[in-house]
Amino acid sequence: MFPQEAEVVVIGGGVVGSATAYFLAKENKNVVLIEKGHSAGEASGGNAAWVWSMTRKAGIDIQLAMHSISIHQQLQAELELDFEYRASGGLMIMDAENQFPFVTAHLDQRKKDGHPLEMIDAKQVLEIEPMLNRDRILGGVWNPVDGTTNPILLVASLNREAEKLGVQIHHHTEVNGIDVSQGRVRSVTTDQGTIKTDCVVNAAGSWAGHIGEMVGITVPVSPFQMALLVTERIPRCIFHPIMGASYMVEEDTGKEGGLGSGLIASQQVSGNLLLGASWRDAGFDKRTIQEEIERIAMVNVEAMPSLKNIRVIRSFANFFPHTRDDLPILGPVEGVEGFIMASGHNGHGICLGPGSGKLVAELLCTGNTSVPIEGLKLERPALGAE
Amino acid sequence: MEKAELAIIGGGPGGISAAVEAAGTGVNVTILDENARIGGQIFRQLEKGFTLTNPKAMGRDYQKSVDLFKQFKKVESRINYLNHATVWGIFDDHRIAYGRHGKSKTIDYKNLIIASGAYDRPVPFPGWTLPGVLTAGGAQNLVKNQRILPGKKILLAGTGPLQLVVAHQLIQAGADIAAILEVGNVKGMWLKLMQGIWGNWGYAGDGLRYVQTIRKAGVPIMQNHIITRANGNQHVEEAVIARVDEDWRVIPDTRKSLKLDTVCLGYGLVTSTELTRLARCDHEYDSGLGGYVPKRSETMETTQKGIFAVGDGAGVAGSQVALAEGRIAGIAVAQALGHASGAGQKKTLAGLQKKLARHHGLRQVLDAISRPRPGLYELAEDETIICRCEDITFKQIQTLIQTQGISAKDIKRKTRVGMGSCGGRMCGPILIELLRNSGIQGSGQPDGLNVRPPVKPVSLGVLAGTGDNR
Amino acid sequence: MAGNAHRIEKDISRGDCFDIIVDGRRITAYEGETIGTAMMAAGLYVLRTSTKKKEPRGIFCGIGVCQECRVTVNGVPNIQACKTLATPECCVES
Repeated sequence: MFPQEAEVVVIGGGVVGSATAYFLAKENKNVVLIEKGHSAGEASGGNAAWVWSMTRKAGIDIQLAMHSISIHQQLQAELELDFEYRASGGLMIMDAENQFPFVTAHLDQRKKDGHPLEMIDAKQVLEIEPMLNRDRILGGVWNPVDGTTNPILLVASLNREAEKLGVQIHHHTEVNGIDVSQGRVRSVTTDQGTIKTDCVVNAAGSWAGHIGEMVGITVPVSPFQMALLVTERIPRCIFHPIMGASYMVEEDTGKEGGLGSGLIASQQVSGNLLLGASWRDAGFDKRTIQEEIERIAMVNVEAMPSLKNIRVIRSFANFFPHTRDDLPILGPVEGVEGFIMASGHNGHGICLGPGSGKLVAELLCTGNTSVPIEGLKLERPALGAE
Repeated sequence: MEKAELAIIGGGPGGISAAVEAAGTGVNVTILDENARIGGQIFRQLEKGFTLTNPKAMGRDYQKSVDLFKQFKKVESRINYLNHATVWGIFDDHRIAYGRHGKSKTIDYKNLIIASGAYDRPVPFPGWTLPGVLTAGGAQNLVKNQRILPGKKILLAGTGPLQLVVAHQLIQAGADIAAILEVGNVKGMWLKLMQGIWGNWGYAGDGLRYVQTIRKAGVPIMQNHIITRANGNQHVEEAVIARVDEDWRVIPDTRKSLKLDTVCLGYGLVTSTELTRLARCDHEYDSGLGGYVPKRSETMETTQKGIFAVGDGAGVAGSQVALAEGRIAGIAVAQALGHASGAGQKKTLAGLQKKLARHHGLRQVLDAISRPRPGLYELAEDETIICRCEDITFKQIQTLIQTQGISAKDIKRKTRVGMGSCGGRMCGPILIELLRNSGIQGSGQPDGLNVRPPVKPVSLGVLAGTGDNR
Repeated sequence: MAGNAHRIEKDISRGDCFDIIVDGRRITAYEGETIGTAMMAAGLYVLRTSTKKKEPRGIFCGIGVCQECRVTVNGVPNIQACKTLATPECCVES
């Protein structure tokens, strides 16, 4: 039976929405979670699967990441279904001199901020990951708290516990309107029925703008496509998530119409290598193009030459909700009471998702949050909305 | 940047006849063939090292192929034939990406003919993954081209006249056939029917010969019989067979055991639609075939303008149909490019269409015998493997199929079916039938079995342009 | 005996033969034969074991589609035995 009423309606069944629903339910809130497609059907279901804080910048960025990582650990302990979370440690590698200034600056900032990272030399890098190209590695950065997880299982696990706590989850259900009157949310209309509520959480990822329109606000989140390759299963040869420092250098390329690329590589529990990455502005198109596929292959073979004989069995791409300042949008919005933002996690949704869910739940239940989120509000100038 | 007025993917009868036709009118043709030399499956040529001491031994197919190869030789200098070329992607801007000699290359095309062929239908039953259980097509390839018999005591199980061709070849090569199981429901005029079909497929006269060979060898042809199980330790040693009803469902208490060392499964063919799906052509379910095929016009054009599909890669119908369809598509492309528009072409086209119409009629007869019935996909037990690459069992999939509101996409994501090295080629057709039998999948576009490049496994070295050691 | 596969002598003549090494054992292969054929002729039908259930797998479709026949050749993994020609002294691991 479709719910007629709820204390909170969470829109979006990915990692952010699922975590939000779960944490709200733990505080005895009556929650309905609406997802237009499958569970973790969008960004949460097709990504590098990393829990990664190494490249998070000083300030609110790294604070959110560290808080969220602690939530990952908490969930690992309290959720029944295992979601393959492995805090194996993360590695960034440098293979060109021009990367050093970026990396050093980043490390300085992080140190000043109280979240230091350890710079290591080439020899140490190769001890950690022997597959890497001896002739090219100049050095690296090591972060023991980073790792990988299985986001689809994480979402499934969160959903399962949430349902046990009374959350109603409706997949393949599309929100087509949110009724706002006298400046506050009154109900959510879906293609299955209308739910009376005075609190809506917008965890709709790349569709956050679409949901924002329903309440008459502009949410400056745009889809940003990232492609990855999957290889056949092979014996274990990559032991940690590896990112190339060029990723940091190139991060902004592609956002102005080109094709950005940078090394990210890891090996799944199943043995398949998940290799990336390239990114471009492709709207809502999930198809991969030749340039993306070849670029990713190039970057990975350069970094690990013995991968040349390993076969790619498919590629995939997903779009992530991009915001101008690379930070998520969390918290209430001006002018529409009861409308809470929890979107715009760029390519960091898996790391930051559980934390965001917890913070939104805290906000709604106590008014206070473990990490101050005032600077992440929709109205901040850095987002560039009019 | 390589360019072609007409790019053809596939070097079998469909692709080659299209190439010959188009090149004959002056069209600039490039063929991308995965194999070392032309012929595809049915007209596959012997590898270097093997010498035929008796050409007649290759059978009817060989004679036909010789004709086609002669035609090809005549226009060879006008065709850019790329062997060992594995197409891995087709992109929106009329571009094909392929791997060849360790490198990834591209070709821009104005028109494209996809002649990607077909492969044996995978049918799951307990023990079907045991070594020694292979497809009829695989057995045929081993015997004809590799000149090796996969075993001594062989059971053929399947449906349709192709089984008898394979049986004949196996017997000629010295095999002892335990039995030929025809699961289909064919009464009375069965052999005459087979001959009729062969007649139209150019096997006239041979039909009777095949049956005679089989009879002479004392091989029982058991109608309404199916293999239900293969037993063995590291290899198949025994098969359990049973009688079936009209829906191919096992009739209780009819099981028999056969001791053997090889099982050949010949349940018809599945069209390779990876490329047509990648090119975003519309498909529809052909219930006569029991599989999806690209929608096509009279001139073999798909719903994507400029992209044609011919042969078994567009709907399984044998080499004669492939040859005719290839020619039709070749002419259509030549006309589109302004290379041919005479009355002669019109007459040729009419003749070819007539030929196809005759085949179509016979196809329907064949389908009546061999169209998969529900019982075929009810042989699997809980632990029977459905996805061979990822070891996903029937139970895992059935449990989800019985979940309300589930879709093919959901099943794929939750079980990882279709996410292995074969790209869903083995499990995909099975999953579709299971979904259809449960009413979840209709006749429209198959959902959730999306194709993304690379459509066949390609090494990172090839994609990176630095080569590999493969 | 497991499979009883054997080379057909009728109507055909073969070229040179040479050794290939499969799981440390020397077997005969003829020019033009695939690795799969040579292995079959030597009574070797199990080419790999399956991912989860560790069950024996061998040639199934025989035309390079099913990916069941994958072996490692000269250190390179996932080579399809049914379509890869045997070369003298090549080192195959199942």
